[in-house]
Amino acid sequence: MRDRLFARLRGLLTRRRARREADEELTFHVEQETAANIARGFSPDEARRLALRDLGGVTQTREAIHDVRTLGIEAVWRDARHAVRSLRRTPAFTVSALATLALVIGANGAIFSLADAVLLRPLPYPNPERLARVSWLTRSAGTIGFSDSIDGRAWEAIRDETRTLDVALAGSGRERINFNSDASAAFVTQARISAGYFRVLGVTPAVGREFTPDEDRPGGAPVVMLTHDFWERLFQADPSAVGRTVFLRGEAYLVVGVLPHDFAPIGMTADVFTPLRPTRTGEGGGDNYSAIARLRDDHTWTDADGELASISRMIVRPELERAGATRQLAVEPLQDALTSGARLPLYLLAAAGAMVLLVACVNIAALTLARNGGRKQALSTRLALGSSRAALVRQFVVESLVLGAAGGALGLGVAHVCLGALQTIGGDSFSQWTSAVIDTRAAVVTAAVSMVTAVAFGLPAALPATRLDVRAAMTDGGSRSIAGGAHHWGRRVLIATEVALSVVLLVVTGLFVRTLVNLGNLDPGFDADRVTTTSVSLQDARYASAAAIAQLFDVSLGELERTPGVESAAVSLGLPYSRLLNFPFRFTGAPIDDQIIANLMYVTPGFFETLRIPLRSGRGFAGTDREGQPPVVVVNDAFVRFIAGSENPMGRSLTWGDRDWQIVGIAGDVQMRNSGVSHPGMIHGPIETPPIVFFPAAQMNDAFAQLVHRWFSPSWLIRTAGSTNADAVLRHAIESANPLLPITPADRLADAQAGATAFQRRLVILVGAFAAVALVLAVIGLYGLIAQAVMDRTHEIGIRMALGATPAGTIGRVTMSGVTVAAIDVVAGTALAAGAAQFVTAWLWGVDERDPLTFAAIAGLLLLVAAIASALPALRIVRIDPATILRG
Amino acid sequence: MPKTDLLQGTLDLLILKILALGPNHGWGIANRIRQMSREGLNASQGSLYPALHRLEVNGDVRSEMKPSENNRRARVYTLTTAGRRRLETERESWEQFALSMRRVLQADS
Repeated sequence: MRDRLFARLRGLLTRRRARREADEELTFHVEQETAANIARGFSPDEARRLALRDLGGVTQTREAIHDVRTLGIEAVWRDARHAVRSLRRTPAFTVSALATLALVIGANGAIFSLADAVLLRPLPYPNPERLARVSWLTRSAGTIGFSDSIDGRAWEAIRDETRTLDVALAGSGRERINFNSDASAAFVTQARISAGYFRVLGVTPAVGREFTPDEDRPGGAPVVMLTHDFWERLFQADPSAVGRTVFLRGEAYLVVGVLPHDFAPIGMTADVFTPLRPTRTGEGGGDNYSAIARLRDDHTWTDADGELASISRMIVRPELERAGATRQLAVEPLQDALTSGARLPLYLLAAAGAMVLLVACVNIAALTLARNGGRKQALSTRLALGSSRAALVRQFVVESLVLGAAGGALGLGVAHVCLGALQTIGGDSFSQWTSAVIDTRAAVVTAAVSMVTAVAFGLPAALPATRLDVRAAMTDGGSRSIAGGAHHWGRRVLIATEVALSVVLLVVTGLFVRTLVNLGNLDPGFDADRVTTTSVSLQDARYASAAAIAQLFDVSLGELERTPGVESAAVSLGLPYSRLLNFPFRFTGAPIDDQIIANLMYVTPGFFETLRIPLRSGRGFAGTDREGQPPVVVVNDAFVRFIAGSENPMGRSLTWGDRDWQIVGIAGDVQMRNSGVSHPGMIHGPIETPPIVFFPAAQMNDAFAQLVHRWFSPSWLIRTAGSTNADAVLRHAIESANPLLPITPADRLADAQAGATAFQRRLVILVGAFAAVALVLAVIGLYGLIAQAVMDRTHEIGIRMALGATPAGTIGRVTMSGVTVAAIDVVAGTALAAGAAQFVTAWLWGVDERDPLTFAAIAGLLLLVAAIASALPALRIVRIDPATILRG
Repeated sequence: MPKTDLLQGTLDLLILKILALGPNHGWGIANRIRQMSREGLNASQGSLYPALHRLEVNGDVRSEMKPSENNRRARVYTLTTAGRRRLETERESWEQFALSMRRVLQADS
């Protein structure tokens, strides 16, 4: 079979050579035969004439050979050319079908490449199926969830007790730090990992080695590993970089290794890696680590889970657990753990894409039906002239294939654009999306989907046309009904599907819009107008003492206050919508186990004024609330509601560290995200107003400063007069206190406020775009169906109008019949939407997934659109003189 | 002896048989058919060449341009393994056919 195809292809591709060789072969034959004839006694002329006669003519034989060699391929080529001509004769159909295919195939191709990058591709490590994350599995009333961070105590238990797993640890987050070597300086991203981290992943350093357990202990030798990229950039890939000393944040580190060039880090990228040095106190006192594990040979995941369950029993103290919730350590496949955040949005996208694809399939089928209705006469003419049914079927198959191929090619272009758009829209929220590209896999899948769509849906719709009753179709003359009742019925079902699916997508969009509106209507609790912020990392040897920090804040704020155009300025640990520090404390005098967790922020005295956060009672902070003065705190409304209970908190004291802090004021609530704090009665969602305890920055001690600045950077915030260059002002003020601090680019707080609902806005845009496409396709289908029905009834309408029916009444009747048709579809779609909405409840806020308003609005919208689509064809008919209609 | 026109489909069998004896060019094949049938079968040379090329497309024979005795290149055909298999099956069915024909024609009444 392959040989045969190859021989034919060769015949086609090397046509000229093949012809020359055939000529040669035949000439040779004629010469041999002539010679043989002469030998038999014929004259030379006669001998040659006989030879040519026996061959049946050189030209004819040559053509016969050519036909044998190129049969099939040329026929397909001829059919394809014929199909293109035929498609060009129905440009409306071809353009609509191609546009539908290109749009939908493109969108789905883009979604596929995202899904491929995020979900389908195995992790880029050896035997990725044996890699896992060790997480806390929390079970509470009906819900199960993994929480991927653990504390130092859990880590030590896992490290010391497990036999089935090879484990390693990573610190949470990445830090931007200053890097210096003899030759260069850079602002780099640092990640911290434990010894054995790369061994667990199965990554061997390209040069040097990874960290030893001795280096991974508090007080261990300062060592660093470089990524391949960074090594090339800063050291021109010089192997002698290993063994050199470099400076991170001004401290000396020895370079011990370089990672291979194809190493892909888990999560965010980094330039340099340093030992994590896990502990049980400080950073390790909270859930700030994440553990990875590789299943050892000869063990199963069940063994590992059993072992982790018994380790959990050693470290979980039931009395400290939340009521009704149990938790234990468990393995979560690493791929699942890494993609859990990106998975759901992708499922949603894929579902929306699949629905639109289905709508497109339906549309292709409907378009094909309509097209064959229109060329029924041409087809019957061909059948009457003796064209075989097989030939017609073959023509339709080839037409579908040509359409599918062209649609797929266009779709690839669209996919490229779509992927770019998706990455722009979603890349901030889902970092894994950015790695997706339209590669060969995506192209193959896209092309295949396009072909299947065109052939599987275009063909069944086309085939009935080959069973035409020739006589009936031809005598019909084409002036009256063109499509038979059976076709109407098929088309009816197709359009019902379209309408129902667009209802589903529109309802989901509607629910997302309501969520967005609800979130937007919440009181932010502060005024972001003209407030600019910047942050500075204080994880720096020079700022290990509270006194040095106080000095930094005082000098920079003093400079800001003197700057014209600055209305007010402050420094705070944490900003609205940022992640805050969760801190345990108790009311002074309460039992030691009565710990309460709240968000904790230190602020300078100008904070409440700068953000215009109202004070409900008591006072804010003053310059006199300094070290050596009685420790004071301000709490917020949420603290009063969820923690203080009925007792007035003013004047009570909170205990944390070795000090008691008196509550001197109550401030309004401020919106935050992911507070990580949960108290009875608290409403959770994309935006929350958690209980917050504020304390004066000037009253923090050294230990606290070193602890929190490891994870969080303080922010400077100023409110400026309209024309002030806030970025330059902030930069100048901080540099006046210390010219060597790395300052992040300034942000407007209003942008952070908009960013808080960015995810919800993206959902609206993404799903809304699909819904819009589906709606347009459905409306076109509906319009076509009703226009067809009206055309079929042209005679009847003409007679009615001749008998005195009013145009208004006629339009009304036609419109009503259209609306009735649509109403059934809308009801079906609404039922479907009610089911589909269950799957998006996780992204809804402040709106029930059965929200009657949304459902009613969408149903109304669809009926309105249906009414317009129905009224238009009727309008056209009643404008015509009844006499014309009846004569026609 | 009158010359018999070749039955449709038997030309392929003849070509395969000749090539089973060794590689040959088109004229050689035609000549062998003539000789071996003692001039009884005269392959229409007009159908010989398309048949040869069809057999090549089907993979039963393969061909090669080779220099020949009189300074010309000739296309020389060789039987492939698939062709050898096909020769066997075709020969069997032909003999079956010929036997059946003979039985019918030699029946007494």
